Amino acid sequence: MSRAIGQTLSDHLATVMIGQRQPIRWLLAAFVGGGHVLLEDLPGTGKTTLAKALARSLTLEFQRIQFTPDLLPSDLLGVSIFDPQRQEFRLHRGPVFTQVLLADEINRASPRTQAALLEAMGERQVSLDGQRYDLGEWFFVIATQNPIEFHGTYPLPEAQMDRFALRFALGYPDLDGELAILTAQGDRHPLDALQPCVDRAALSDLRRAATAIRVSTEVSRYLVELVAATRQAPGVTLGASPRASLALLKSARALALFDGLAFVTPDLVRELAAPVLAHRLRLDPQARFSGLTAEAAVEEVLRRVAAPV
Amino acid sequence: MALTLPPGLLAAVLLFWGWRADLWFWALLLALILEAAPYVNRRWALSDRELGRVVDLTALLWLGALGVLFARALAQPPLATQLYALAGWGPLLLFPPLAIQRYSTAGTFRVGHWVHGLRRSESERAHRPLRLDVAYFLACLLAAGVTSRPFYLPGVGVLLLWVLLARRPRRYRWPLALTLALAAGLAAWPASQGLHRLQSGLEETFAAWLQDRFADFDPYRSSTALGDIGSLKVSERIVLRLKPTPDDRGPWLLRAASYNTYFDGVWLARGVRFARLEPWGDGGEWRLHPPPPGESRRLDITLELRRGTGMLPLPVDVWRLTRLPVGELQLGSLGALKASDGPGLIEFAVESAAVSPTGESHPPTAFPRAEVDREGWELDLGLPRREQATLYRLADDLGLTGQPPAVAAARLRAFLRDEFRYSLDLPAPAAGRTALETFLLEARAGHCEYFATAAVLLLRAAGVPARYATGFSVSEYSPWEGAYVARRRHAHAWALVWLDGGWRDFDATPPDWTSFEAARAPWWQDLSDLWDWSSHRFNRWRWREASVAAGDRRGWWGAAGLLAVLLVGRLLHRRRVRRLPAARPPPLRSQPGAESPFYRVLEQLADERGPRPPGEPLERWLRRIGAWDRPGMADMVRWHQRWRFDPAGLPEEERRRLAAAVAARIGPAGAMET
Repeated sequence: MSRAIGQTLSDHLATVMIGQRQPIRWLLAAFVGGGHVLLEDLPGTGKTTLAKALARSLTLEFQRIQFTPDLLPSDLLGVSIFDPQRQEFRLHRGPVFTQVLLADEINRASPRTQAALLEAMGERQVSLDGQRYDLGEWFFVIATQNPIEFHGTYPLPEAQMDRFALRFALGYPDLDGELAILTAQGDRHPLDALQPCVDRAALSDLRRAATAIRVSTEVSRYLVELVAATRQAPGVTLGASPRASLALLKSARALALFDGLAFVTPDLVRELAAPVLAHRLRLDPQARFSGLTAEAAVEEVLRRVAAPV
Repeated sequence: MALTLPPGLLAAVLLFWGWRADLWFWALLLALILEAAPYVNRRWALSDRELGRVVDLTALLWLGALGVLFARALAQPPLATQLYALAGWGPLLLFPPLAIQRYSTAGTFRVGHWVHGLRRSESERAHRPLRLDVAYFLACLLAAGVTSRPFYLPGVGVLLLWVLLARRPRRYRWPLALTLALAAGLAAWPASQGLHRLQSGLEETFAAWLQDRFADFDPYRSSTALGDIGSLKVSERIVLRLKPTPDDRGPWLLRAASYNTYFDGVWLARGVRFARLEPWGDGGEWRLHPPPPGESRRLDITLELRRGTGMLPLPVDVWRLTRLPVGELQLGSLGALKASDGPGLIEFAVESAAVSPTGESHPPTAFPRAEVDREGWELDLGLPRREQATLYRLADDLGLTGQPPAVAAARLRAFLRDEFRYSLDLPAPAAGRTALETFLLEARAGHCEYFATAAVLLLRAAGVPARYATGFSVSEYSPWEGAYVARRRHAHAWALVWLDGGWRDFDATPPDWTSFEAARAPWWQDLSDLWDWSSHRFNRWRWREASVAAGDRRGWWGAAGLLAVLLVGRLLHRRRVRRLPAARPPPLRSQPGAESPFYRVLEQLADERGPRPPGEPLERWLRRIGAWDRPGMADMVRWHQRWRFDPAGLPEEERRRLAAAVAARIGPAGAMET
């Protein structure tokens, strides 16, 4: 049943994101696992489209913020304004008060604006004027950023990076896929016609089913060993946190659900290792200049830590 | 994860050690204590601090053992023997912490216990567990190796084979692992021989280097190897080249220094004075004596002078040196010549009286002597107090006393040549005897220093003035060089005896000593000769072309080379050498689903297509080797994974189906060794 919901969602998104099954799978895994997603790729690869497609497919509130250098924390969270008629301050809620938040080009905003999202992403709540506002269990952030552009951008700090469960790229579609895109978007964008395909009850079922996926001690140990190995990996000055272990476990459960398994296999953990761990690593500058990437460091860890079979 | 040893192995290695070290009782006791641990259900609840104290006590134990051995080394000198003994005691001294590890509730020490600086550290490294089993195993192997019983290598081989077989990756079946381990063992035999040869080669090279660097002739003092133990190391390096006149066939004894006083293995030149010689004319000619009557013997000698200074090895009857480009030449009162202010390489001609150099029995000559040589008769007749009695008695027994010098010398030569043999081994002196007495009375074998010392002292005991001379014995002709050469190992010692009013060479060493040493020449000697020859050509060119004042640049080149090596090493280190996280060994059979029959399929696939790299996911590997699409494979993988990784396990029905699928693929269980 739950597998069918996952499949429906996946197929639904695939009508818009042609030839992007893997990123869709990961995006849904993060959503079901309750983590946020950072899409990082070149302009024009469909980051925003994927985020919008997900939001429209779910029966959830959706807000989009275009991050710009002059964006202020209050533009994001909201601001209290004095109401002269009622003689009191009233909160004008910002766009963060939603369920699915698309933070487009998140690295264009200044660090203080980026930091405004920390609490929201980490704890699903916003503190304003001494008041705590709950954002609800469905609060889900999809951020996008462009990895090659550095002018007028502010790289996300580690604390912010750690709050994204997964980071991955979409990549260019293959020739047939690109041809299919041309055909599909000939007269109008399929996104415009996209309708919600699952209701909220089904989504709740999906999340509940994911938490029921069983994990053996052996697989948990393997997962923790992987994360711990990143802390001693060569060329890495900052490894992945326990939050990464949690994110890896939750997302792996979601993948098991999509695959129709009642338990997590080491292969699923491996599949998610790079998207969950790579963006949390800080590399030694010298290692970086000599060509090491975070993904390569994770690959090396995967190669070194033997998986149970 | 650390290697864990199979049960029973430590007991076996302890017994092996006990057998070799003749410590049966202790070995049996320790082995029993260790192996009883699983059957004892009490454990000692030691706190972290107490575990640290156990380590401290072990360290004290080691210090105590060191103290005992040091005290023993004072009484029985060779320290090396005592160090071997310490290694032999290792299993006893290391046992307390191992026993504590077995019988404590903690079950393991941590790094902080063993590294004092980390004891109070809260770092992750300090808390890393440190199990002693493997270290103890190695210590036992080491301890078993210090005795001289046979079958050490086979014993070690069997024990290591045990470890390797018991802890082999489970995808290797035991026949394959056994074959590989045996092959490795067989290969280890020549490798160990090679290592042994490499070690002795390195030792000799180092000794040679030391000799080349620091073993110049010292005109005041000559330390001999008398009383040393082991084997004399000799260097093949060519240090002197000699061209005689065509009719002269040698051999030549070239004296560099002579000494008059012996004391406990050291020859000293007491009362020696050096007098400056004035050059004769401008052409680098120096005269020591007036020309002798009759013919002169002429030799051309090429020699390296370190820093332009050194003793000149010359025939004992030299009277004139020509073409010698040194600034100063000093003649010692015992007849040695010291050159200084010269270039790094000198080529000069020597003229000496034409007498037989080995002094067999030569006619009396009326060769005039410098006055300086006649002084100090009492020194030239002096005997060391410790060996005095032995020497007098022996001189009497041989009938040397009271004979004319020539007769005494001839008898002594006959005695030394007939009754003694040449050897480079240095045996330990017998109890209560000095090294010289041991040589004369017991061993009757030794190298030239023994023969020369014995000859000098016995002649003196017989009342004949004698001195100890060091220098080179030149007899080897090198076609490469087109000259006679003296290698470092041709450095020689002999006696000078006052015969017929002059000092004569008296070489009592058995004449086969050069061939004896030549037989020990290493296989690369031709190469090293080639190198010596080319560096000699280079030096000749350099010292002819470059001015003397240019100085020695070898130091600079050496420093630059070292710097380059350091730089490259640092680059390589920064780039390449990285610490890798330790790989976890493959799962053991105790984990859930370990009995899954699907492992047999995997083993068969690994046999056919090579093992799966530990980091490659199962499904990807199966797809890569083309096994995924085989009928039933995907189902088998699913069932297997469910069995392995689903905490709920695999229902009985599906287990049966998996077993059936596996059997259909590779035959029923038991048909294949797992």
